[in-house]
Amino acid sequence: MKKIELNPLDSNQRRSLQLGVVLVLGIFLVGYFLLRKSPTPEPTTKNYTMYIENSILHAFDDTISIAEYPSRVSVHYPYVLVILPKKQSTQIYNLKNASKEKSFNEALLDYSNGKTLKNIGKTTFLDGLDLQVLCEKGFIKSDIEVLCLTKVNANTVENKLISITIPDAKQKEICVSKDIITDFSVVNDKIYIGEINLHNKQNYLIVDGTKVEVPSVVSFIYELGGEPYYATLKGALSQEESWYKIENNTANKLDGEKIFLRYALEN
Amino acid sequence: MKALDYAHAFKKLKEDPFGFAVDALITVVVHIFSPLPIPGALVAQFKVPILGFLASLAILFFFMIMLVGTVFMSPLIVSSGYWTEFISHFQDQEGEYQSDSGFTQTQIPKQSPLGGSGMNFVTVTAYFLDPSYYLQFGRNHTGIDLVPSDSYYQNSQSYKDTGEVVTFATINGNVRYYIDQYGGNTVEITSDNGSIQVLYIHFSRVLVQSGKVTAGTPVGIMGDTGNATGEHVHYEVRTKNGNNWQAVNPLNYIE
Repeated sequence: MKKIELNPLDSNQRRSLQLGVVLVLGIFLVGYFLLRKSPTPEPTTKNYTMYIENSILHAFDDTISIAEYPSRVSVHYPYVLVILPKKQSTQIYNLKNASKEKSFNEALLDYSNGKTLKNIGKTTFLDGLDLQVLCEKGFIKSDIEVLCLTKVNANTVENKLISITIPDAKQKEICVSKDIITDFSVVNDKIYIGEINLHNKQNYLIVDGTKVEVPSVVSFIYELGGEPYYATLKGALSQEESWYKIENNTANKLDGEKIFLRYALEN
Repeated sequence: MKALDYAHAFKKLKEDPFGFAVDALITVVVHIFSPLPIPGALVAQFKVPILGFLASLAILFFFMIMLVGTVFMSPLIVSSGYWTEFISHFQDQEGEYQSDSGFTQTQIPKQSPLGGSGMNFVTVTAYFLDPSYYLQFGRNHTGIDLVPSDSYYQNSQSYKDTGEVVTFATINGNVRYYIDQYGGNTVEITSDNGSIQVLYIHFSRVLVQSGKVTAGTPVGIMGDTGNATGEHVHYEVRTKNGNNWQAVNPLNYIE
């Protein structure tokens, strides 16, 4: 067999080749480890805003999609509940502290002062107390009162808002709809109710018994800076997101593509 | 010959220890990245330099294709329906899914489709005629969406046996299988007396497509086919209203 001379170089050439290879290898290794181990820079400033844009909730430093049904947002000032039933999870943020308050491995209806309102099977429970009714949405108004959105009749779409006293679970009707109540909330002790007419798709806001027309679906009602607002999210009945300030029982549309739940300057 | 090689290596080590170390390092690195015979050796073996070089390149290319193909294509193959279909040929489906003897033979859907007592095995993620569903889709939600509860995963015998969420017939009746307008695998059971219907949507696999079933017969595996944002069972109950079927709240029936 012919002897193969793989490296027919003199000693100087060979030393140059070796140094070149070592240099290339060294650059590669240094670059590799620098890229691999360089730490992701921590955000130096905390994000104090909370807003919804394109069905994405930007909650301080978190980003959560609420685009897919039945994911939803509910606000009980100062708490914002991000309810993800498919994941059996509820994330609670505190608007006052601009921080995450708590996390639950179940879908809640409401949270206030450590108390939870949730559906278990066929009825709704305030902590361990069975309220003897199934609520579609709920609001813990005080230690002795819960507001509950429930069906007028179990087999029809119309719903009503009732008040339930604690602990005897006695029910009292507040507003019975001939259509669908889409959301309700309590801001400054006033009850705000959103409604949609099933036939002509007209949207309404009911404040203290007074019903006024509003330009778009009331997806959820909330408090911002001590004032009532409502938001319209994307869906079959609304192609775009929008938000409104409720003043003197009328809804005034606000500019911008973001639905703010908290401004940065509030802190 | 070997002794001469060792003597030669020792001489090189003595004359130029640094160069020897670098040569050794380069050899190791080259063999890590290319554990094939280096082209030079193949050239020597074949005695036709070009052919040897091309052969070694071809071998290297073949291994690279295999590696890239395996790494990138495996998830696509496994997640596609073809894989499930391929695997199903090797599975003995006879007796794989047992009937649930905990169901009462009835024409009224008194039990949850995942079995268990009352609502013990299920969590409702979307209720009957949920207003939020209407806002999202512009139509009514005519059933309830169910996912297994923690108790289900801990106690369900069918889950322990199969590792899958098996859904059962809740009434005795006749089965009809179809794919709904959104692509969901749908199983419909009409009670023997023709007064009530139960309907299941989104099955990943349908276990019964026609014929008679009794309550407790496995009918499908929970999935997310059709208009679904995650795996769940859409469960619907309908009653006869004149000549039409009308959806009613399934929770009114589950005891």
